[in-house]
Amino acid sequence: MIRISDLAAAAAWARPAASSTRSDSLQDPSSWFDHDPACADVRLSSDLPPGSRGLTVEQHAGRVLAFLCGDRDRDA
Amino acid sequence: MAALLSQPLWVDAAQALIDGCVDLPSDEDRVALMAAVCQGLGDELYPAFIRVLWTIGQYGDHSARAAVARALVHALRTGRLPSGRRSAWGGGELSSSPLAYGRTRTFGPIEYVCVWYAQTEPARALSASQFDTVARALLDLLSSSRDARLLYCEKLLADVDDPIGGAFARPTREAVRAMACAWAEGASPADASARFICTLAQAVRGGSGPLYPQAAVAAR
Repeated sequence: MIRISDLAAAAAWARPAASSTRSDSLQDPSSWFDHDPACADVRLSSDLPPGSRGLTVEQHAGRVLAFLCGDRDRDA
Repeated sequence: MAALLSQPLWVDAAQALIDGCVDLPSDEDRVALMAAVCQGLGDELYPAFIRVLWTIGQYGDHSARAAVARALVHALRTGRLPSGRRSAWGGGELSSSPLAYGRTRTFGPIEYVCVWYAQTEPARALSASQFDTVARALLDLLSSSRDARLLYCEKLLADVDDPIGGAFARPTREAVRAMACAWAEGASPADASARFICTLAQAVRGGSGPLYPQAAVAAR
């Protein structure tokens, strides 16, 4: 079994060390993939809530995008 | 161009994508949903789509992951895998300049994170730990469907065997091939991810090619 410490050692050979000042800002998308302890208890399921039934492709896409980018119609 | 919220609601977005994949009546619609999300985000924010898939892979129950994986199977079968544009090796950073034509390639989510880790200048690259975290979650998500896993392995192997694609530097090609072969043979997502990292390190140590051709070009 390979441990994460082994991977880090292997990675040191692969390329120079990355910047030690990783910002959480949106300028640094890599920080999105750091462990998020707030999500530890999250469970996503396929149980469909009533408000999500019978929507079109555009409406479903709009819901996803609204959680990421906000409601563009409202902001306009 | 889309802009992310200062605090994107990743979990809600992931649940909304699952809801869409469960609610929509056809595979065509599900692929169209993922395409619409990626189009709405644009190339610069394609990592946000990967972050949503990562959230599903990490926190989704089996049926939730399977619903999304089923959509990805149809996307793979029809050549419409939701993809993001990045620089090909030797192409410099992503640019919207028309002169950048030919220097960028589109990558599906797994290939995208491989290139992000292996072929990006260090300050903007994924760390080994981040790569391992996201790669495992994506592989977990796809592993919830046998078809998705096998089809994606075939795609990865076809990509690395493409002699004129120009997307991967040689060490990256070797590492992607090792990961795909291990995953196809039944390795766990954790082991397949580790195979990528270790093979990449060995390929670089073996001097089989520059890992950061972009940086080499920029330094000239």
